[in-house]
Amino acid sequence: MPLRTARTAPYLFLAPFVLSFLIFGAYPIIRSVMLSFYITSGPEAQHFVGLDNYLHLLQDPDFWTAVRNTATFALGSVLLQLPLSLGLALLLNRADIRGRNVFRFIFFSPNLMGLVFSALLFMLILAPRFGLLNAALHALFGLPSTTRWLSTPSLVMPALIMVALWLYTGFNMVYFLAALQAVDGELYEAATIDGAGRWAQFWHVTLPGIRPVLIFVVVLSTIGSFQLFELAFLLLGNSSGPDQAGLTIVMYLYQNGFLGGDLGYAAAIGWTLALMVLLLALVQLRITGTGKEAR
Amino acid sequence: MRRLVVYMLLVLFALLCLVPIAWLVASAFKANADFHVYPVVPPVDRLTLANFTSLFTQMPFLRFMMNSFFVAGATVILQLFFSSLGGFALAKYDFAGKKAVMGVMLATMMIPGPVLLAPMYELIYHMGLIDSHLGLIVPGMVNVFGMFLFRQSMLSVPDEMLQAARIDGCNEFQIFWHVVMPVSRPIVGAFCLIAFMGTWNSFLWPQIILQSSDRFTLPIGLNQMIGVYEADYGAMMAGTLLAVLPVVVLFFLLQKEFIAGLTKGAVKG
Amino acid sequence: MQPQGVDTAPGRVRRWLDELPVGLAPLLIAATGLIAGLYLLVHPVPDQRADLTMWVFGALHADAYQAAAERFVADTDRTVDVQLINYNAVNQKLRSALWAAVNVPDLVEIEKSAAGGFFRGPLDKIGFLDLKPYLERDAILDRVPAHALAAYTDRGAVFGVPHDIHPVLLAYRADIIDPYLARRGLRMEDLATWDDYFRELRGLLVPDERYLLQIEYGDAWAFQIFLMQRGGGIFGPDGRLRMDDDIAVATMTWMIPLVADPGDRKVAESLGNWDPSFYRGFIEGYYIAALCPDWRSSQIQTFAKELHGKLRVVPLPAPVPGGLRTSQMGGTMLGIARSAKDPELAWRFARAIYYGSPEQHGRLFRTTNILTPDRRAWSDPAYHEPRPYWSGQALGEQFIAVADEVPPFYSSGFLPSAQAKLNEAIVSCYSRYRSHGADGFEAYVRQRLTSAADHVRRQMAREPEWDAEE
Repeated sequence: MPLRTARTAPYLFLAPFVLSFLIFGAYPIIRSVMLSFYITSGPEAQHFVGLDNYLHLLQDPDFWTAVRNTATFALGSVLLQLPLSLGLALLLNRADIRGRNVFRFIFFSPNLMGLVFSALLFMLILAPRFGLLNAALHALFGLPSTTRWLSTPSLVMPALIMVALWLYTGFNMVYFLAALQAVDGELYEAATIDGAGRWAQFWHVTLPGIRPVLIFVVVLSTIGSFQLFELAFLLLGNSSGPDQAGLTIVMYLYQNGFLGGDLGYAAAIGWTLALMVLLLALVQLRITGTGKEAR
Repeated sequence: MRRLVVYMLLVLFALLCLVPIAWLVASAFKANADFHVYPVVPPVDRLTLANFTSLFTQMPFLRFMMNSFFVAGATVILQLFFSSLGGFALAKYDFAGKKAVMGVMLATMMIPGPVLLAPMYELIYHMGLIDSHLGLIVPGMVNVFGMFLFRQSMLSVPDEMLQAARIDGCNEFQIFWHVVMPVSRPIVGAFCLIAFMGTWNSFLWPQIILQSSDRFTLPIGLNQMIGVYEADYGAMMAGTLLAVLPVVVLFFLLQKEFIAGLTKGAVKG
Repeated sequence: MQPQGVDTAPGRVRRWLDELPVGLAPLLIAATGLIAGLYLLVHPVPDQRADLTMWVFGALHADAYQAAAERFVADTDRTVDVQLINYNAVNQKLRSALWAAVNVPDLVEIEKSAAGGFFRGPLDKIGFLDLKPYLERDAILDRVPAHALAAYTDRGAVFGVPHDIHPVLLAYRADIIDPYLARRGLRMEDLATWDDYFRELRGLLVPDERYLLQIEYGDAWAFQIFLMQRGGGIFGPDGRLRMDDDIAVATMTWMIPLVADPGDRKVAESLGNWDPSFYRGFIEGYYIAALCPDWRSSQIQTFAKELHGKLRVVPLPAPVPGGLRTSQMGGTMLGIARSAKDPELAWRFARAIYYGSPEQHGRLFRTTNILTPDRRAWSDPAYHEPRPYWSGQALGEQFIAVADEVPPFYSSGFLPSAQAKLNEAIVSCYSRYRSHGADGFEAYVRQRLTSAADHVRRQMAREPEWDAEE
């Protein structure tokens, strides 16, 4: 008897997910894939174009601008955010630091703001001449206070990466901190006895110890960065910023679908992005060799 | 000496984290005209509660808050139950189609939300859920990220424990509820916080399907204040402050469980 | 201290908690959710099954229409549900609703630059009714300046009626400029062209401290105002893209040096168009004049209270002697959905709020400074009373004086795309001028605008010939 229930049980337990996926996943997905083969305008105006949306997309300079911006953001986020989170986690993981809980709470607190509210906040903080950031840079380093962070093309991405850094560093730090605490302390002792320096310890004990978490965070951050939309859109006052410097792929999808009115082209953008992210995640997993040892 | 450097670094970063938040708090009590006059904190006599009064008179702020609490509460509880159940199945059973399910789960994480907006709207309409809280709760009942989280943490529950329970006559659901869930308690805390924040801050979907302002959640209600040509930034900052408060309180209460949970969930990649 | 094992109430609770498999977190969340749910049960949302549904994106509009809806019930016994919706959400929701052909409101207000996006597709399948027959029948066409309808007219059909005209004037710091000019025996009204303006006020310019005009160069907002003042536009009346014609090139070649010239040759600057720093800059005198559509004058009043009695408006200085003294920026239309159950009733409400009594428009003007396109209302006292904030000027008269000359704005489904391209071109022209100066600038501008326009033309070329199909 138990054996039989044990056989059907997993299906029952997964039923809610499967059901919910079939209704709220599969149907809209199919519908949206079909849409991507049409030029559309309104409910009854659909014009079948086959793969033309995708072909046009590949030659659409705006799409490539969006890809470039999004990739810059993803790269900037991953390369700055993750080392910083790891560094903070390492500092906080030292046994001789007091008030670790307080620091942990403080570092995590920006994340509690959520991105809608953070965007509203930073829109004001980044204002030229009177904004907090410029005022601070002026007072501390004597920099000019007229920097137009959100309306100078070359500064838009740095500003976005900075806000994302503020928002998410603490969150990733918590992952790393958790991972660090799980690294076996005896390994460090053994390494110390072997005469390994701090750097060698970090390289040979810490990194291998947190590797699964590291990979998990890298992949997740990449996926998240590639879907950047609301933060940039709200921060740039519902626009793609000067010279489209803040145009992301999802924003381009939104502009085409909800402002331009062609949901077909928008769908083609969306599915191209999904494919890109999938490939990217697979490459990341392959490079780190996760696939091979996954259980 | 070395410790001093570490402390200095920590304090510096703590300041970077806190200053914008402090500025938000100060702004909530600033008159609109003072916003940029006193970049940080204005003199005490220029502080005002006007932003809060206008917040409560301009819009049903309490109602927004209740809506948010209700939607977040219901969503988190449902997600918690279904995701942990699904995660348990994936962690502790071998069955045909398991790989396919995991593949589908991974794939759904790659799909950008907006691409499904229009078909989802159509679907939710035909289910009669436009402009209802159910329209927010039902499509988000199962959280794929949560399933992964629970699966990872439950992998480490020894099979012998389950076997022992079976011998004791527990059925599979009882095993889940009475054996596996109790040892997964930390991850429950972590998941609750992540899920709560996700729902609390959810924006695009509620914005599309909610229509009556009496049903708005906080982000939608507050964003309403930014018109095309008009914006009361003071009231917006006051609203933001109040909207963020419950999450802060929750995090404060759950801090220990949250960290412990991630430790547990994260050990096994 | 409780002795262990004693069966006290707190002890029981604790034990129960310990035995619960899920711990404290979900309990807490469930409890708040439950309390909130109870609150919502006790305060149910009133069932608003009204005869007409209307979506509005501006809070002030919503208030005014709510009041009108109450009068409408009294007059016709029919109810209207006015729903206030965030500006972006209107586009998203309407797009989703139209696409799914469900839940479309009977009446909806749309912002001008987004409107064209809803007029694509076969004429008979566009989501909005052609209101021309109604406008003709009720003899409203001759009450409204023709240019006000341009943006909402497509292939001869009028898909929306204009809420406003939005003429542009120049708002300036009278407390700074007037005494300065007076010393030199001049008045602001004497500065008939932009050249006059910048020349005569030159002495007020202090680099990095005081500029003569606010011109934003990170987006196309100011550029469009100047472009239309010169008779240009992004699109022409026939839906043709004209953002790279001679007028556009001349406008760009003229505007960019104002903000990009080095040192004291730079006469204009901006701190952003919308956020509080714009108002702050105006208050501090960082710039002493700003392009000012009617709606912006009300924003300035609200967010720059310090400028009470220090501002005046005058017609825009012209690009050339005898040129146009105004321009146009922004706007809202009201459309009636093709799917409206009772179009006649919807039209009656539309007429009531857009072409109602002069007093009604006067009230709107007092609260929003927005001038109605309904000429009949312009005689209402509200437009002719002096405004203390505006140094005692009769603000309404100033806007009415230029209202008939306002240049028409032509919309298109490709407007958002064209605007994005134009933004890019402006930024490129700005940086090119910063690095190379005036050398070969005009040729660069022409080439840059053409490449931007060609991009949009390529998109437009993909558009199927909707009406030819069937």
